[in-house]
Amino acid sequence: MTAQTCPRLDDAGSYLLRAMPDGEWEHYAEHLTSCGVCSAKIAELGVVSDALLNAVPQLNAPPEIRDRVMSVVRAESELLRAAGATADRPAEPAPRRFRLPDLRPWPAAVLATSLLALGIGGGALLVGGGDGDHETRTIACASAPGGASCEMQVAGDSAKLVLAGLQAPPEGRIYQIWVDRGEGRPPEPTEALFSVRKGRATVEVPGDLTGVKQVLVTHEPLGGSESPTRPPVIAAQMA
Amino acid sequence: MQLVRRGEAEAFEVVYERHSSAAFSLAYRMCGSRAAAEDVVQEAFLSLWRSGARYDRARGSVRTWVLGIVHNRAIDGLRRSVVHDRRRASDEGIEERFEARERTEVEVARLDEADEIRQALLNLPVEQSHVIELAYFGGFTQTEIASMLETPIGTVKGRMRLGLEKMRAQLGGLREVMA
Repeated sequence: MTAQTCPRLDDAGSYLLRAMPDGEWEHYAEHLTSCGVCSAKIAELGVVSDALLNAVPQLNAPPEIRDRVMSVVRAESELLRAAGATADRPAEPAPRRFRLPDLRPWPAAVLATSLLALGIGGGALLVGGGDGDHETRTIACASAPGGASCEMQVAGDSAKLVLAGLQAPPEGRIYQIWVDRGEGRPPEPTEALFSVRKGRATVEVPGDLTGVKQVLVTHEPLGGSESPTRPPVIAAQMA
Repeated sequence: MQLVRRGEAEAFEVVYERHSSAAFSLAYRMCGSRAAAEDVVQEAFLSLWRSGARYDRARGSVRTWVLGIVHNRAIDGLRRSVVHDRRRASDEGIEERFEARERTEVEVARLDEADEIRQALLNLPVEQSHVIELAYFGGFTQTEIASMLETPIGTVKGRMRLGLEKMRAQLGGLREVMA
């Protein structure tokens, strides 16, 4: 090879247009690290191949794609936040990042059946205490999966679930917290979507808890749901 | 992009809003059906959401990075599909239903630039523009193109390089519209 030419110079176009089969493409990329002639040609013609990306009739993206993409992104953003340095500490109350309007009813019969299947009874008050401003009550969850421990800590108008020994949600799903105000109304979704880290999670129950009878957890598709798609795996009664 | 790297969904939404139509346009041009194009765009954006840290500003604009991922995803999809079953089965009327409106000066500039690039492609000798289109937008490998055209593979490679060189000469002042 001289400074002016290289027997592989014709491969430059095929490389940029991604017409090389897998394997050969990587091989030529390796060649580029040591061949000034070919790498200069790639730099020269790469502008054209980049420009070709835009050289198609322009259409508007259907809005459904945005909804699907952003629901996953928001859920994963929450997970990233939860998986940070504070993952095992109580979560800060988060601003509402999305709304889940137009609730579909969750039939009371389904809820009742699900809770019965979990063997739900009343929650037990375990500990009473206080930090001076609010009395903190620790309530054993009325139901939780076998092998998991679950308690809810209530202080003033805030509450958090403290979980241990809980399996991660199935692939492609995420835990979501719901609040049930009773009186035959369907559970309301919250923005609290979470997974577990080493089986543990401490999750703030967001929103106004006035009138909430119990807090429920289901696993839902990433991004959360407007109404539960699965029976609750955890139930914690507020009183 | 720094905010995207930190996992900020709102920052990513801005990137999505800015580039999703170009991404869909490219995917639709390559896949030829709305459903396949939607899948490609969705996969591509989720991929770049999860790999935001890999964006290198020195190597080009965010737009080129986004479209490059879409292009790769579309090619992967086309090559996974049944070989040679890639005739453009255009969804009838989709161009009318989703035709983009010109809204901003940047978008107008991009459309002008796209027209210029398309014209440069059309100005090439047909044997050169043909191999470029088959490879870049059809996802065919050089071997498949040589077979389809009953042409030696070396000739196919040469036509690709010559075609790109001629386009480069025509588009001498080409400068990417950044955003």
